[in-house]
Order: sequence, then structure tokens, then C-alpha cells
Amino acid sequence: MHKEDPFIKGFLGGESDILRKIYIESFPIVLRYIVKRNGSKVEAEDIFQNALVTLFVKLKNKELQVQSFEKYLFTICKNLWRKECSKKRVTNVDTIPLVDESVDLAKFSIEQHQWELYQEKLKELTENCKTLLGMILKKTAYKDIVVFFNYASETVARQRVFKCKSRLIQLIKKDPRYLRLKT
Amino acid sequence: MEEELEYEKIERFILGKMTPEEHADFEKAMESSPHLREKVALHKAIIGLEDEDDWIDFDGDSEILKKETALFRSEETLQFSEKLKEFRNNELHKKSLRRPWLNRSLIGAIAAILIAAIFVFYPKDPTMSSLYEEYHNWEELPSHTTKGDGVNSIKELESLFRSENYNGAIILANSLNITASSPQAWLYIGVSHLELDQYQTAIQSFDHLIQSNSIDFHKGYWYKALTFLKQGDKEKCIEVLKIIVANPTYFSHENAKKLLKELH
Repeated sequence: MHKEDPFIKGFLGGESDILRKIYIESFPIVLRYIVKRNGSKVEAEDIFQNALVTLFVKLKNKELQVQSFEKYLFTICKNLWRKECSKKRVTNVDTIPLVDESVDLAKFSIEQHQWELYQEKLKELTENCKTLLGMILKKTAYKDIVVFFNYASETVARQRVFKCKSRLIQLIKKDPRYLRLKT
Repeated sequence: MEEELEYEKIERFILGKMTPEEHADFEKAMESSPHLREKVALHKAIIGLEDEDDWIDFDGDSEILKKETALFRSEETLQFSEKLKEFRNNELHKKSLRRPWLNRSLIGAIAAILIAAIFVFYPKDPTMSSLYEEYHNWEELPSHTTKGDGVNSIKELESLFRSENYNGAIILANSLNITASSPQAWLYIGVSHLELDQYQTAIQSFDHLIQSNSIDFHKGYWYKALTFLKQGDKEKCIEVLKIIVANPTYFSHENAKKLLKELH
């Protein structure tokens, strides 16, 4: 995706035809995703709009290396929705207190960037570590991991997970793009 | 070893498995150690990478946030945001959501004007990828609940697939040769490849099922069509869909008819 691409140019210029195409092609997918997870249509519209603004800022000000606009937009929408769910879970109320929208989106944009860094570093691990951590992230029980990898015991499995996670953390922290998280 | 013990503590802290005393001690240790706090935050972020209800929380007090906020508050971003709001209010909310082809019966210029007037947010000319999003449904894959030889392996395969561990599912299937006793396993293997965008191996897996003696051999055609759909190969997708449409007893016959119509 390049700034000189006519589609991207049209998007950055806010051209109605391009926006219509984006809404026609991508909004129904996002709407379905959010409604399936107990969100409302209005929430889906807000998420979609915020994702487009985030994408605008990223494309306008940064070098963005993504293959497909549509897929990347969907990823941003999914992550914005995760942030909403996470906020709702923490505050334990349906309505999120109003904060400055620009700050909120800027914070999300940084977090999205970090999330992409984590994903990138996950891919740099060995195949074995990737599969093992993939299972852990999907909350697979240790007893199943023992069977799957034919480990001698759960202790061995935990040691392997420890090594893989440590390696991942090392890779993330070594990268100059890494930023400290809220502690 | 010390590091491993600390890791174990962090895990137990995050998962809420510490006793109240241990928890209080650990929090105290965190208060005095920014290094430990950072470690805990990173572990938490990694654990939550795939969690649909969780998200990483960036430390807000920094110059980076100020700079990023300035980008979101810039004149051009605000203008773009306003354009979007306007577009959403004018077009998304005020006009009809009906599919344009419902108006085909209206003839002539008036119809054309009407069609143009209601041409709004509905996939009039959906791309292959949005059709794929619409039509793929892994809930329809066979579920294995009976007991018997080989069933445990296929249940394990299914469970890895359902937990979206596609690499794990492929590794398991290859290592245990599950397909010899359960040709349906090809579906899980194929769809796992499909999820990983490994189209060629996905097609090969579905072809294996089609050529097998399984009573479910015809399911392979539908998933093969979905693979071509995701890949964006319209011609081949249509070719496979035509086979399903020609055989009313084949799996997903109605969907195949609808999809074929949308692709034409």
C-alpha cells in the first residue's frame, strides 16, 4: 500500500466514491463481527469510523507496510473492539466515561503498533516455540500440551513454555520500536 | 533457575493463583522494582495477545503519546474525521439499505434514477474477499463425539482446530496419519491450510477427500470453492460451484447456487 496508489490517494482525500466503496465492502463484515460479540450497530459504526481515522493518520504520517487495505482495516476494527471490551471489563459498566477522543485514539494507535511488533516477533521464533506458544495463547491445558508434544511431564512443558516466552520477551525488548507498557 | 522461579511467580500473580499473603508480598516487591513491573506487564500483554476481551495498555505518560495525539488533533485529521461523520450521517443513515437488484423490475429511465437513488451501503459489487467472509462458516464442519478407534485423534484434531491452532492441527494430522481412518479429517487439515493462506495444500487436502471413499466426499467441493474464493480465483471458484449446483444432494448446494449468482 503506497500513498501514491489512486485508491489510497482518494481515501486520504476523503473522496465520497472511495469512502462508499470502503463502507460497502468492509462495513458489513465489521458489523457482523461486532454484533456477534454482543455489540450494537451504533458501536460498530463508531469502531469503523475510528478505525478509518486511525488508518488515515498512519497512512498520512508513516510508512505503512500492509498488503491489503481491507484486511488491515478489519484487523484495526477487531483490535479497537478488543480495547472497548477490555475497558468495559475493567470499569464493569456499559458506558465508558468520556475522555478526549484524540488522546484515546492516539493511545490506541501506539498500542496497535506495539501489538504488530509482538506479532512480528512471534513469527521469528522457532516452529516448535510458535506452536507451543500458540497453544498457550489459545489457553490449551498443559496436560494436552504434554500429550501433543510427547513431553515427559507438565513440568517439562512449563519449562519449555518459559524458555519460549523468555525468548519472545527478549526479542521484543531488543527491538528499538519497543515501548514500555502501563505498569 | 532464579529467573524461572520469578517467571513462575509472575504467572501465578497474573492468573490470580497466589495466596493473599503471597499476593501482598509480590505487590510490595513490584512497588519497589520498575524492572519487575515491566516484566509483569509484558507477560500480561503476551498472555492476552489472542484474548478477544483483552488489550495491551500502553503507559500514557510520555512524549510519544503527546506526539501521536498531535497527529490526531491536526487540522487535516479533524477535517477527514468531519468528512467521515458527514458521510455517515448523510449516506449511511438517510438512505435505504435495500439491494439494488431488487429494483430490476422497474424499467427505463425512472427505474435507473430510482436505482441510482437507493444505491448505497449494501454489497452491490462485493469483492471476492467480502463474499468469502460472508460464506465461510467453520461451524458446519463435522463434529466428532462418538467413541471408537481413531476417534480420539480426530477429536484432538478438531479441538486444536477449534482453538484456532492451525499449525498444531496440521502437525498432529500429519504425525498420526489420521486421514487413513477418518477421511473427514481432510476437511480440518484443508481448512487449517486455508486459514494460514496455504492455498495449494488446502486444495490438495480437499482433493484427497473428493477422491476418497468417504460418504462425505462431496463436501470437499464446497471447501475447495471457498479456497478459490479466498484466493480471488473467480474462474476456478465458478468451475467448482457448477459441480455442486449440478448435484442437488451435494453439501451446501443452496449456498453454491447463491454464490454462483453473486459471482456472475
